[in-house]
Amino acid sequence: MELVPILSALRRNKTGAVLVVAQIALTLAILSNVISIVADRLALIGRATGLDEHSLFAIGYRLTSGAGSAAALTTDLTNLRSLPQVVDVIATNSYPLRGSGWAEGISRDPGLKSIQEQAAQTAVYAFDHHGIGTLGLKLVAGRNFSTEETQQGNFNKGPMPSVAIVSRALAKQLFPRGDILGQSIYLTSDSNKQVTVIGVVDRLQSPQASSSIDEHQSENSIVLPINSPSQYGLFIIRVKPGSMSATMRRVQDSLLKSNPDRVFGRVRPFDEVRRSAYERDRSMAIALGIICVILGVITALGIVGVTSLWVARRRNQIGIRRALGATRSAIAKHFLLENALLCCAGVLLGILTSHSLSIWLWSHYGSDRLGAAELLICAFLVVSLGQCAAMVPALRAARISPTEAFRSG
Amino acid sequence: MLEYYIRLAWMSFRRNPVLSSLIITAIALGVSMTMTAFTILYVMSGDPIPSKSRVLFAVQLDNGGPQSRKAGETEPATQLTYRDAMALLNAHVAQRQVAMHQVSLTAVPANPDLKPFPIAGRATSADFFDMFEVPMLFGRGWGASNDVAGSAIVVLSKKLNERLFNGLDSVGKSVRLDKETYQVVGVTDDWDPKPRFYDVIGGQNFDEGEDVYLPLSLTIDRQISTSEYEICNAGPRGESFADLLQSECVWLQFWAELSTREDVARYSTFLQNYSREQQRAGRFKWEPNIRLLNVRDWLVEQKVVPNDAKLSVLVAFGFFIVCLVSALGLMLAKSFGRSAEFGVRRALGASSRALFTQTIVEAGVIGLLGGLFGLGSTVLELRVIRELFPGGLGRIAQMDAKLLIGTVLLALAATVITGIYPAWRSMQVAPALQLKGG
Repeated sequence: MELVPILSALRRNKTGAVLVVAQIALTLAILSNVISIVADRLALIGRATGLDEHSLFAIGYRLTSGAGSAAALTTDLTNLRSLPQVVDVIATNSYPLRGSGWAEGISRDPGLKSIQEQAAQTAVYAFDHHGIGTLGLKLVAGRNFSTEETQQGNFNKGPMPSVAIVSRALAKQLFPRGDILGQSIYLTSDSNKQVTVIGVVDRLQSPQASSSIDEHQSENSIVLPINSPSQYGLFIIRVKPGSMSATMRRVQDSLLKSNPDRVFGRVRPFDEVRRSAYERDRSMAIALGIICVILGVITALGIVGVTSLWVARRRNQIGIRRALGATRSAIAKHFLLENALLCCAGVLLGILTSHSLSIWLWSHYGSDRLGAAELLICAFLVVSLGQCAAMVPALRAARISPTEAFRSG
Repeated sequence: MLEYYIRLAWMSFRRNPVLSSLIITAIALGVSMTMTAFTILYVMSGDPIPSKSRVLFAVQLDNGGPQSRKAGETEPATQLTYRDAMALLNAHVAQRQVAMHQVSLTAVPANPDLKPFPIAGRATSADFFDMFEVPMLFGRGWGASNDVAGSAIVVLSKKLNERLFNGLDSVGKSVRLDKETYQVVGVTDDWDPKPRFYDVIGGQNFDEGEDVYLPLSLTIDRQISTSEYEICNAGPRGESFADLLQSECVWLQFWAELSTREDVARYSTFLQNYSREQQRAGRFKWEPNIRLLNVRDWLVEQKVVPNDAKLSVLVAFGFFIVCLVSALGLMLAKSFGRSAEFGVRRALGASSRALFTQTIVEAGVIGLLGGLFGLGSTVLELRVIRELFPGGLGRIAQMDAKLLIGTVLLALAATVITGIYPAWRSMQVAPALQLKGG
């Protein structure tokens, strides 16, 4: 019905038509891929550490004299636990999303040394039986450490504790089919130092988790019950809700009281740990988001331009149609339909371009392949954008009076 | 004639301000996005030390063999063990050589009212300052004799010198770091190679550098361990610091300065022979596997330019094309509205070539304006980037003369090229037809 005059009009305005189609196709190709990258980033940021983050903060220190002793560490912990707003405290070697930590290869058989022979690579945490409660970890199988199982020692030094708790991801990698509880594993090539798995926690991300999408690298972790008094120390403190900032000061005061020769690193609430770990990803997502919006605006501008040109060219024809009885809405509909046709052609071309761009990106940058649903949503967005942009000149066309037909031209 | 065309361009702008502004906006946004993305990539992949990037070589030596790597990989570790680093350092085969790592220390101000604060130090050897052309504000680096003696001396960064000595010449004074006292022998001027090529292992390559430099031999004597990673894929670390020094753990960066091709060949042979010696001694159970990469190759190999940066350039380029297509559409719309004017000018005797030139000049004027606005929005975008990425990326998102000129030229070139088609179309206007109309 209405399509025939539209097609014949387009045939006479090939340049404009080509421009609109090309623009829609390009916009769709860029938009869909960028949105897919942004979605990936957001998914990365959204992963849980397994910790009850909102009530935790970490504080590191360094003794400016003396080497630190087991007794001093115990005193520190006791003092901190007696603070009114403190629920519990652990001394640890690292924490999820910190960036640096201890990593080790694990094997199921004794005596294996090389990376190729080991069954898994994992992050190693060292904290005692207070850990699960303090961090809010979810024990899904087995039991917590007991007080007696905790070893005093240096992270580089034996004796290796004989028990360990692992994250579910590591358990699954080590024993894909079986039950890991009670199994022996080896963190060193020394076959006398076997470690028995006594518990599995649902989730405990590694210190490097934010920099990797690889499940093993970000989710594999093992906890050994070691307390390591030294010149450096790191506490994670769980506070009662709403008392974070006041407690931070009290914790520092308390620690300085027991040993004034101390300098503190940054005191880091876990919300801040998470924010800074994913800062780059979040910023990138925001930057790309802004680009998407501006890109949409530019495309709309281009469509306004071309459609205005057409309206200007066809003032006479529009006047004649109006004089012959076409309603205002019929005129507007003509331009909108015309735009919709071009947008659909653009979308078809754009889907091809998006798809090849996505494959290329995937092979060069390892970004995820573009999903069909994402692509369709973007296609819908782009067509709506086109319609909105065409609305302005289309309404202007509808206002053209029938008397235009009598003007010469 | 040009003046006349520019005046016409200005009149046409005034007659159709909305359409003209839209064209300028499209050009400005496209150009600024592209330039911002390129600046970041350019700085990231730029040469951090142009005068020496061809003669400074990162040294790699395979001390772990195939079993220290994942199956199929052949790349030796990016750092050296202490024993290898010392052996290469003491052999003096290159013109200059350094072994180094980063340490964390506590600066204790002389004024007891001020709190001690943590700083980063670079434990390195004497050649460091000449080799990496570190500019000095006061004093100078230390000599090789200090390395041998393990003297308690430091070179301060300008920043730390300002904090501790209010920026005054502190050479000869002493500073307290941790529990020890060190004598200041020099203060560096601003020195900030981007990226920090000499130490990309910690992933801190775009962050701010060290606050002090001190002899590696001293940190070994005092058993100050590295604040970076001790990577022990080739064997256990052991318990004590002495064990670490004997172990196969890698934690030292090693660089050699080799001016000529012959030097490089000689050094390469030296490394081969060294590896073979170790093989004969039973330490290495594999064929020699060494790498000597100059700064540029090293940065490529270490993937210092993140994929994010390359991706953003790609996005920016696509964006630019969309902007140009938009601008083209708008220009066509604008030139159509002026067929009548062109008709009159043709009828009054202007050649179609003159019309073409006029339209191109007009496009140029639009492009120039687009470029100027593009400059403004580039400044704005760089500020947004600094806000969004306060750490590494933000530090390098800076406006400079090259970027300034680049932005304007790109806008101008893009608009003039885009303007050719509308200009060609305006040439086609037949004088009579347009006169007939209103």
